[in-house]
Amino acid sequence: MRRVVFTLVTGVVVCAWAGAQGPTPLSPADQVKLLKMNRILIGNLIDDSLALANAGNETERAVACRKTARSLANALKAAAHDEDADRVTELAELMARVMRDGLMPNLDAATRLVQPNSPQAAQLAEVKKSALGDLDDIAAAVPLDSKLAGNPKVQESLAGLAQIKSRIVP
Amino acid sequence: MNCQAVQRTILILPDPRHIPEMLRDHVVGCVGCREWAQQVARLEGLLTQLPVPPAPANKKQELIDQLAHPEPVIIYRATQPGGERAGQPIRWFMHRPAQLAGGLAAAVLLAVGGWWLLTRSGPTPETALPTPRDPFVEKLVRQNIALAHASKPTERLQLLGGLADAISSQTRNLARVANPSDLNELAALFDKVIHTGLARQVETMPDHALTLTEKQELYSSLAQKLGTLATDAETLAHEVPPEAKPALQKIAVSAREGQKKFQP
Repeated sequence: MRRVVFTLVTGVVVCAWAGAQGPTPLSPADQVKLLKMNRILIGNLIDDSLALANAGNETERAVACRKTARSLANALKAAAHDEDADRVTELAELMARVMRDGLMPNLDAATRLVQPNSPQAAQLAEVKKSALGDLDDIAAAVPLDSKLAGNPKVQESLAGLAQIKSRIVP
Repeated sequence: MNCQAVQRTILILPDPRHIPEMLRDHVVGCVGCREWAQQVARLEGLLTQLPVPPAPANKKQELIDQLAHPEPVIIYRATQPGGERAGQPIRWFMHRPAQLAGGLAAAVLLAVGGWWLLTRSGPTPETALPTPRDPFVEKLVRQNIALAHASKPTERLQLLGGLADAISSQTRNLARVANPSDLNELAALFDKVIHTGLARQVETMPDHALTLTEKQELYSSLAQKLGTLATDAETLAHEVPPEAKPALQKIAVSAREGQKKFQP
């Protein structure tokens, strides 16, 4: 009996320790490979971040966030072309985060603040239209009858983007 | 045959008292060899006369028992009628045919593998290795989202400082393994964050955005951070391959320039 209890306790402790280790660090070879693969995306993300830092209001921040989403969408389309399910999933999740946590709050705030029929309102409408276009591009890049669309992880990440699309009112 | 060869041959004879025909002519004609043959024959005669004590009857069994007990380093097994013979087929199977069977199995495997490799048709199935997630891209996206919520200049300056730190850190991590052109591109991005990001924030910041104390604290903190980044890059530049040095030196120069902007 004591042996069983001891074994169970040891197992629980080992599992807890293993769970607390976090993700395995990337090998130098993987880091170099990812740097090459994401070279353009990294440059775009830094440019978009600088644009965000220099944005003066919510509308400008929404414009900059949409640009970030577009950068991710471009990388995602390339990954879909390569049928790289892991990368499509990663980029779709990042794009969803940018749209949900960056773009949507700024769109909502700007919509509340700008006067209807003002130049800023027109700019906001354009941002929403472009964001919806980006999401349509993603859907087109992963056709429903493709092998990629059958991947459960890809399905889940694209479902996250579809949910965001339903919240953007043109 | 010389005297030395004759004398050696006499020594190894089974019974040196009887000289064979082939040596006899030499021994008869040679005084030295004759005396040698006589001495050896005498010695042989004396040896046969030495008394030999009789061996105890049970000595052999006692020795075997002593070896077998109590420390059975050598285990004595009593032979059973037919036992050894009964174990023979198993040993025979376990040793010789097992080796033979193993060799045959290996040969068959090699033949089948070779045949499969040579005769299979169509494209080679690709083993899709999972593409790992890029923590650097994830970090950049986090910074980007944080900047999307940063409405105050202080927040933006701190976030841009973090962005510069992330790029510098990535460049240092990969300095020993990455392509120089990739490293130079990272260094160019770092420079952009310093000059288009941090410096521009300072230039466009309204006077009333910060109190003097806030400004001093923030600027001092950023100057310190950029100074550390410059020192880290300069130190590493002495340790990396020559082709990686320019990128680190560029980061160090950009960081020092940024540091000057924030120094009082």
